[in-house]
Amino acid sequence: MKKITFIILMLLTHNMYKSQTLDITPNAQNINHNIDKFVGTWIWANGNESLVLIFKKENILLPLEGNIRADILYGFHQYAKNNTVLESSTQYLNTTYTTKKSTLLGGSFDDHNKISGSIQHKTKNKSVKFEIDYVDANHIKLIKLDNFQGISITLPGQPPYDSSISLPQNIILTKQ
Amino acid sequence: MVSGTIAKLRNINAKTDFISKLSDKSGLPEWNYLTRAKNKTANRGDESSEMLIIPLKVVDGFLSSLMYVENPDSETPQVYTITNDQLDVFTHNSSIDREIRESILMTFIFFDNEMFGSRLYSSIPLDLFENVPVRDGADYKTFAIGQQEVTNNLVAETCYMVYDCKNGMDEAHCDGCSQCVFQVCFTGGGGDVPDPGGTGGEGTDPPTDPNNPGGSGGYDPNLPWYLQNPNIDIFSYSHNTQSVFQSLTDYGIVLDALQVNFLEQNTSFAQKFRNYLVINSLAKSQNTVMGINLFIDNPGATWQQFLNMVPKTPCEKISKVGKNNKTKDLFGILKPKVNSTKEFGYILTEDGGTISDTPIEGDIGEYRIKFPVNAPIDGLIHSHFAGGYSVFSVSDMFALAFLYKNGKIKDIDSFVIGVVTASNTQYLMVIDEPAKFGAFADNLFTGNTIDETTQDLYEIIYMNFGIKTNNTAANNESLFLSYLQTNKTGLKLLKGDATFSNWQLLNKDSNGNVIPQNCP
Repeated sequence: MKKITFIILMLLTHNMYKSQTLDITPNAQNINHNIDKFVGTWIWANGNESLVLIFKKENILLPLEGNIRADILYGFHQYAKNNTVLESSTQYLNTTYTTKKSTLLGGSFDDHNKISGSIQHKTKNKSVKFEIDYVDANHIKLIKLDNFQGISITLPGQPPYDSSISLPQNIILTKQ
Repeated sequence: MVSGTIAKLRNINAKTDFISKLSDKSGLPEWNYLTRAKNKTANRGDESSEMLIIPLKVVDGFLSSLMYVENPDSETPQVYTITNDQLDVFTHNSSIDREIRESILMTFIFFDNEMFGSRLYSSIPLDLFENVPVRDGADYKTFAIGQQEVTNNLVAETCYMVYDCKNGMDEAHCDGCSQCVFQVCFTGGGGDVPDPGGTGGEGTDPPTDPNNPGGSGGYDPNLPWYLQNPNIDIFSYSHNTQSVFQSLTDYGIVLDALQVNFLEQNTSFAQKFRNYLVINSLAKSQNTVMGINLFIDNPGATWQQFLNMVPKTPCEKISKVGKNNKTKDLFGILKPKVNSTKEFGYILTEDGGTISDTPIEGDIGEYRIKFPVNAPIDGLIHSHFAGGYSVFSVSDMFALAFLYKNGKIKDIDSFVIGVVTASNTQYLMVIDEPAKFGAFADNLFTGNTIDETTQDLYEIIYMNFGIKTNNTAANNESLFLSYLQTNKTGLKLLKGDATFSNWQLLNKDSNGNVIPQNCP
């Protein structure tokens, strides 16, 4: 039978998860000021094609055990081509993350000048993974978009997963 | 609050040695769940002050007791524990106000739910929770509650939806009919539970519960196994009965006279339980008590009914499909295809021990594979080629949840999802805790529609855990196990060798080390 030993218990409560980026000790806040520089409205335009990314920051409750919160970037995007808006969530610009109207979600993990995350590719009925680099106070670069890895299940009558991505990538966006 | 409380308790223990007087000497405090609540003193009904409650856990995922710290802000807090055995006697003591008994019982259930997820609670006295009906012929009530939001404050009234489902099914599988779902409200608390005698670590007093004439004295580590129940002479019973009784004491469980007499009078069951306990564990000992009570309460119940009620272990869950020879052969075909530039996979369906497969191929350069699923299936296995993850991806888990939500998993107790990777790893994943997995799956969907925002958040958390395609396989394995556990998925990971014949259940110990356990 184990005896209750408070000295041992106190040791156990500290630094159990050293090898990961996210602090998952109970009630952790995961404050991250490295993502502040990405907050704002960023625009790219080329001829009749344009992309707007609007990033906001919020400390949100994660769906994890232990009341863990983390600073994340969430936001909204608008993609237009040939004078037609093909994808847009900017009408929800003033909503918070918890209303689930946002279409961008991201964070900075290893490199403080880089964020990774997801953008809801509405015309393809899926989310894709983005990588964005901080260039300077007025510019960021959308390096690339990729499909998230993994299995897709297609049920009868449903369209199969579309692997193509039609949003622009490898582009420089300018802060407004 | 946690570190301050630990320091304070340590100082108090230095002065009073209160630990040696606790009724629970086996459980370990789970400080993460430290919660503030009202002091609902059992004898006085006084709710004027607050208290702290810390759950104590034993290995294998069971709540051992609750530790109460009354007047925590004073210089002289009172510290004591209430064990499960004490709780059982207390909740049946009709001389104590019903509301207080409900409150303390629900406080236990609250912590059990927070720590271990949704599961079924039984043996609830008939006079508690008036709005939960009694099933025909039952002399106790049962219900399950869904997974709840994490909170560290039980001072205010808390309400739960409880599920009293047909055939004792849990919330995830309950049809949610109006006769099944009820609301229970309580204010968490504890306080001065009378010592029932014979239930704590020190307890050898005769039991006071008139409904428990044999009296399961609580386990006393200072006594030999044959003296654990002072009300019976265990050596006067048959060898089978003695063996079962002794085996259970290995895990601190002491049968009462009613249970021992049942075994003695039902030699076939006694023999079966004896065999069942040859390789013993805490879970098997607890299952045995559950089984004995099942047979006592239901004289017509069969051994198979008992086995059906016993939760299968992850290792048992892979035996039907995951370890089937055909599945092993298909894994063998996938193994060299990790050197390809696309993913391959198989849809598995099982019928009478025979596995049928539907081969699937991904697209070149795509780290995705599309499985068309029409009827319910028994498993999916696939490959990750170079550049893919050495463990399951988030979307692999989403696929499992998607199948579950759409009724495409034929048997939740044997369904497997498998992967073989270019990092020379091979894994199976099973649904270990259906209720918890159901809650996880529910979280990913709004109705049956994919909740993109929440799924994206799980992807971000996956990245935030540091799982990467260029990590070492060992690092990803460790991080993915943490991810599964912390995200309350209810899933378990098993690792195979290169022949796909031998599998190990992977868990993490309290220091974060990966602990493999060979499947028999």
